[in-house]
Order: sequence, then structure tokens, then C-alpha cells
Amino acid sequence: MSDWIRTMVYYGVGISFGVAVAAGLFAFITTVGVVTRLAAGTKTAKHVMLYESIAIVGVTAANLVDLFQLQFAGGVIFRALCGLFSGVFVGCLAAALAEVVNVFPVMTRRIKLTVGMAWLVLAFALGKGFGAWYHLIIGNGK
Amino acid sequence: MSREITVFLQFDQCVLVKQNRVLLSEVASIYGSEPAMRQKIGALELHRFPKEQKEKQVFSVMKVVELIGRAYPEVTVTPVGEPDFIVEYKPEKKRKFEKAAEWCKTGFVALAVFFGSAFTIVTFNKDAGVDEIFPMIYRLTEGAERSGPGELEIAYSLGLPLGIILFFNHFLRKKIDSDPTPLQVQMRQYEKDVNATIIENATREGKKVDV
Repeated sequence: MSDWIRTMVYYGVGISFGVAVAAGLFAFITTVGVVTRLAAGTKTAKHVMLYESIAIVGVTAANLVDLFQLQFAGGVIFRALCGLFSGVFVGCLAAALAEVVNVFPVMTRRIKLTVGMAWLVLAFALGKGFGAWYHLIIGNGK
Repeated sequence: MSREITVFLQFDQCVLVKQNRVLLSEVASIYGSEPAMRQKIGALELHRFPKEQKEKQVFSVMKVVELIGRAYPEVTVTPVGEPDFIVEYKPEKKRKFEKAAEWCKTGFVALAVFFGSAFTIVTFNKDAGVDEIFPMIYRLTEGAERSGPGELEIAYSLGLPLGIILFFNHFLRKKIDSDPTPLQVQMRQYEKDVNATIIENATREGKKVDV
């Protein structure tokens, strides 16, 4: 196999991988409805196309940084923003995922819970926060 | 003495009104063979919101039928569309920082989406072991290890944005075809679910305006 054929195959295969992964990942994010809920919660549904564009930029940039081990200047403020907002997103993802698989309705029906839904949600959020804190800060992420 | 007049009314699931006096013409599209009767029915007052504040009220179409029946007994009402509908009252207030506040919120969501999707792709790459699969392919096809990223990584990085653009059907404002984007579809779906829940809740709690 001559070199340039192999190179072409690499590019073909690589692009297919990328397209498949992107479609899968975003089908998942869309179905779970994270961005939809964020947009609904802040009443900014008309900017949904902007959010989609930003997701494209975010994924592309982070993937480049990850695969090519790019280094870039980012101070403590960048790290704080990065941590805070990826936390917000993953939190929404976790909550939306729990909702999509009907954890709350099923549990409340089983144990006939009718009041205190707000407390349940608060407990869910605090539990996530505590878990992350315990794992990352106390347990050093191990 | 008067002959029967048939009037058709079509309702949407949710209507937004700015005045506290809600007229029938605002919440339904009305059709009948007599334009004068259409006008008169459209001018009937369905509801009056007591306070100058945001409020949602669920109505049964039966209420509308009753209202018209009382005012114009000779009219036969044929409702089409939703059996229950929501009227959302939002008094028009000029708030100074409304625009700025909206952009702040949009900025907040945009940042969450940016860092969130960035985070997600890296966790995916790590979780699926992309950094092991690519070296494996190089090893199988070239029979030797490679140091550092190569063609596969470059192509993968191109394919990712390409895939998302295909999936979301647009980049910035440029759409590939005229279909709405998946998020727009999801957004409408979510809205529909919310409306259905509001109506169900109002029915169950007896807060629906019914006959």
C-alpha cells in the first residue's frame, strides 16, 4: 500500500469517526434536553441557534486541545469559569438524565409522595455537590 | 324569527395577551358566514385579569360556548382545535434593563454550553479510549508505533464539527435545509409538554374556568 493511499484512508476513516461520534453525542445531549431546559429556564429560547453554534465551537476547540495536547495561556479566571460552567452543564445533564428515565415520577408514585417535591430536588442537587466535593477535594479525585 | 347562524372557533393551546381585558377575538380565530356576527362575537369579553401582574389562566372551550350562547342564543358554536387553552397575561411594562438582563442570561447559558460541550467531548474521548484506538490503528496499518498525533487525529477533529453541523442542520445562521434544527424541535416539544401539564394541573386543582 503506497503511502498516499494510506493517508487518504486515514483521513476517510478519521472523518467518519468524527461525524459518527458528533452525531451520537449530540443526539444524546438533545434527547436528554439539557440545552432546552437551560434555554426554557432562562426564557431565552429564541437564541437556541446561537447555543448550537457555540456547542460546535466548544466541542471542536476542546477536542483539538485534548488530542493534540495543545497548551494555551489560561489564568486562574479561565480555570474558574471553565470549572463553574462545565459544572453547571454536567449538573443539568445529570438532572435531565434522571428526569428522562422517569426516576422522580416512578419513585414518588411508589412511595406515594405528594408534597415536598422541591426538597427532593434540593436533596438531589446537594447530594451531587457533596459527592463531587468529597471525591475531588477530600479524596483528591482518586 | 332569525335563522340559525353557525360560527366556527379555532383555539390555540396557549395565547399571550398584553391587556387585562381578554376578548374572544384575541384567543380564537373566528369564522362564520355573517361578518357582523363574527365581529360581535369577537368583541365578547372572556375574562378580566384582576391584578396588573403576570398570570396564567386555563379555560375550557365549554366556557366560550356558554358565553356566546348567553349573548347570542341564535348562534350555533362549533369549536375546533384544543378543548382547553391557556391565556397568559403579561402586562406591558417597560423595564430598563430587560434587554441587558436577557443578554446576561443568554451569556450564562452560552458559557455553560461552551464549557459543558467541551467537557463532554473530552470525557467521551477519555471514556471511549480514543487515545488508545488511534495508536492501535497506526500500529495495525504501519506495523510500528507512532509518536504523537497524525492524520487520524486531524481527520477526526474535522469530522467532529462536520457531524455536529450536519446534526444541528446549521452553522451560525446558515442552514443546510429549511427544516427546523433539532433543538428547535425539542424546544417546541418541551413547550407543548409544559402547556399540557399546566392544563392538567388546573383541571385537577379546579382552577380551570369551566361551565
